Amino acid sequence: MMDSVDPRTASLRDALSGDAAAAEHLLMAWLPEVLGWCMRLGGPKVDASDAAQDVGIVLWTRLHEIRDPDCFPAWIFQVTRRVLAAHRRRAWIRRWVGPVPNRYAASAAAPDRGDLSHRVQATLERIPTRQREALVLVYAEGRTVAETAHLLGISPNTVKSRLRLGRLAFREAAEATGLDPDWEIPAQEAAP
Amino acid sequence: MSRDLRLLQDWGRATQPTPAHVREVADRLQDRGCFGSPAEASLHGLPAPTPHDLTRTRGGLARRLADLPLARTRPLRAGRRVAAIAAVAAVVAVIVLPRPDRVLSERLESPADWQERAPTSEVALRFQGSGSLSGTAHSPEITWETGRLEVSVLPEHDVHLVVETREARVIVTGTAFVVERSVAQGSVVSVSQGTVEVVCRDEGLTSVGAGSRKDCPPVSAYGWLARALLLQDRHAAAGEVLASAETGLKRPDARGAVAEELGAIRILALADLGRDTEALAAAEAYLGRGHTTREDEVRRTAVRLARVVGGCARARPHLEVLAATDPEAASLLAACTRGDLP
Repeated sequence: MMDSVDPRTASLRDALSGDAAAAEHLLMAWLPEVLGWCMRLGGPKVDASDAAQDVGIVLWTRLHEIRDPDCFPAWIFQVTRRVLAAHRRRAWIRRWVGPVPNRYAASAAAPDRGDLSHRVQATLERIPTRQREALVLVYAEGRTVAETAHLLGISPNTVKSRLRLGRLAFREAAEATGLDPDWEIPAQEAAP
Repeated sequence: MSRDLRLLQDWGRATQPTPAHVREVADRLQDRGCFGSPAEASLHGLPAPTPHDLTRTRGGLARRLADLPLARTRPLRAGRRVAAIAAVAAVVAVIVLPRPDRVLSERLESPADWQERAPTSEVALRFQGSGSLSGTAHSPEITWETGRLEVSVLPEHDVHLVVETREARVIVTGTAFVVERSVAQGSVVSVSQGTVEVVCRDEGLTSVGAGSRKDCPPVSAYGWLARALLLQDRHAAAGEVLASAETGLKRPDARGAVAEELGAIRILALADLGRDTEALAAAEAYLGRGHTTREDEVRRTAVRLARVVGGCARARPHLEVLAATDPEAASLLAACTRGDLP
């Protein structure tokens, strides 16, 4: 399984036994992944930074409840999923206070990248949640079917089924949102 | 790989969080209390003194101070004597007089996951939902808004805890219980240890012992509407649905769309129970008041009931209204007109 070769789990057992420094290392090691899930699965109405913080708080305060270290990746994904669901439910309030500012949208120098990313996100928003998760985890994040199955707590065959249905739904949704599959999204620029 | 999947791959790479973004989130987590030092963590892990510990310590100190002879001190000048007396009085006051009760004020918010709190050493909370904590350490008060709240209070520690919801007031002196609240359900108090006193808003006080529960129903027309809809979704008995609708209609705040919806649900429940004459009268009164909520559904129900009660003649007025937009009603009206139906 994924975490048997994942170097981040080196600190997991120490963290579970109460080592605060190991817990801090574990949180920092998983934060990029959690933030990526929040950005890609949260949708345009959710502030990914806020959601990632909430997941971090849960991890920090409830790490001691984990009994099986092998289940940690699935546990943290399920926590992220539940936090995102809560943020989505609260997001309707933002209709009245204004849109969530996206500080990581494309700059004025490269407007196309932001627009394309938003179109892909808008397209993904139109397909069912479970299929969207499978598409993002496998195709956008490069996980294998087995790794994705472990993360989601389902069988590999179910993952394949969701991918198959998700691809069809994505194509259909892309036609509705005007997303042209021949467009290219430039790679992200390196951080300063 | 198809072009769609390549697009998703590119999008995945383009949306990888930057180190700056990760650092920003980590900084905000630190501001919120994560990443404490090991020394801090071990400090937080120390148990807080219980009131019993404090009382015993104060008593012991007071006895030791009472044994000290004041005469052995050298004579003080007047100013120093006054200062010494004031200092002794302050120490005695701190030891003997009861200390002010610690004020509690905290928002309890966890819609997604279970959270645990121990606001004092005698009270433990576990919750998934939202509410607020106020009052003092000896008299905590929890206003519970929605979700599930589990409470445990150590007995014989002079703690008087109250949980309030919109429907109930739960008074606790040493027990373990659960409060679940939702708009449709109202408030349900389940006791696992000890005894609690529950006051439902529209009822008197009830003592609830271990292994028992008390349901405090909704106190608003909207709450009863939510309950009636929930019962319908669960395919509950028509009698239960009818009772919820009629109780809701009696609430002083039953008006507007809520009252119309409750009225429609009542009509459908009466029809399901076979109380046709009563249901038809209610449906015709509903339609006569010009309600638009569920108008078509109520009118179709009126047609069905009218045919049972009085045949085509009774159903005709309703059929004539429906026929304009409903082909099935139009053909039924035509059949009645031709005399094909009684």
